[in-house]
Amino acid sequence: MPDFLSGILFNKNMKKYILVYLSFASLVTNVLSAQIVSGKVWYNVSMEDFYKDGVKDGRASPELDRMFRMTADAANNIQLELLFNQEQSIFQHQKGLSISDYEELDELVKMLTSDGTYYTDIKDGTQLLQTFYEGREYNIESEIEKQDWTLTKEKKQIGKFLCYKAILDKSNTGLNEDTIAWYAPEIPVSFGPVDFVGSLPGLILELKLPIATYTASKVELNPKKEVIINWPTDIETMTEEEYKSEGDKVKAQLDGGW
Amino acid sequence: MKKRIFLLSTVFAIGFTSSSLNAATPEMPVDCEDLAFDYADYIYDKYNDGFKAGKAFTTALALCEAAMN
Repeated sequence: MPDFLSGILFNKNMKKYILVYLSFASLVTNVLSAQIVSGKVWYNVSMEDFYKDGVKDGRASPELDRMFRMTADAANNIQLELLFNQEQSIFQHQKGLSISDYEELDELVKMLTSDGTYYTDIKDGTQLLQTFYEGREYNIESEIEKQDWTLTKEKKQIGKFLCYKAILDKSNTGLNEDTIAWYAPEIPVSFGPVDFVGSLPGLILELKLPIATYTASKVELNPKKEVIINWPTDIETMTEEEYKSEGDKVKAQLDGGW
Repeated sequence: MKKRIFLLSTVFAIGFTSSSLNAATPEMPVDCEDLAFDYADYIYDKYNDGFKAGKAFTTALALCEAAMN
């Protein structure tokens, strides 16, 4: 070892300075990552899997194929946004966007990609979905359920963030395929699109469902303006079961020939 | 010469007959209600949500009828 280097390393004062420096650097890193307290994420949506599933095996008529195609194409123009602070989040459609040439189709595609506005309170463990159907407002309150994700070591970059893959087995969701999420541990909040909240050790930047894939296109952390979630008040709420029951009435009407 | 006349007549006869058949058989119109029900059934099958199925039905019906007019 060169004399000058051994002189530095074995000097007591120098050792003390190196130790202090390393401790300070570690503290700064921890403080900085703990300070991601709020943010905003914009998600794009793809419904190509919806289209492919709809037309597979050639079972769709040309007109039905066209309907699936129009739906998937309109979804490409959807943009959803997630605002969050350390305890709460709101997930909703971005307002004022032109999605397709048909207002009816816009409303349907919005419904298919997010039922409405999701308010999440991680601290209280509750979620509120505010949605509309035929001019009537529905407020569905539920408890956040712990989802049994399998965390993998598979990783990929989404924007500036290193994300890890997590898999939710289809037996947990009732869907016909597994759900895949890519979450960023660097953003240590367990929020994500729609009702996939409360279970992963990082913000979900990509969520793949059988019918739609949500991918973060932009992430803004710790904006200057404080993120305040205005939870709706003075509202009548219902349970998920009650909401499902209301939807079943619509289905019954459809089955009866509308 | 007689054979040539016969062949030409046959060709014209077949051509005229098939064009008459085409004129007599109109293009099959799309049944918008059937389409709307098919689309709504698919949506319900995927989402298990009556509201989405209802919305899918009205949307498909509206778009189809708009396209037919």
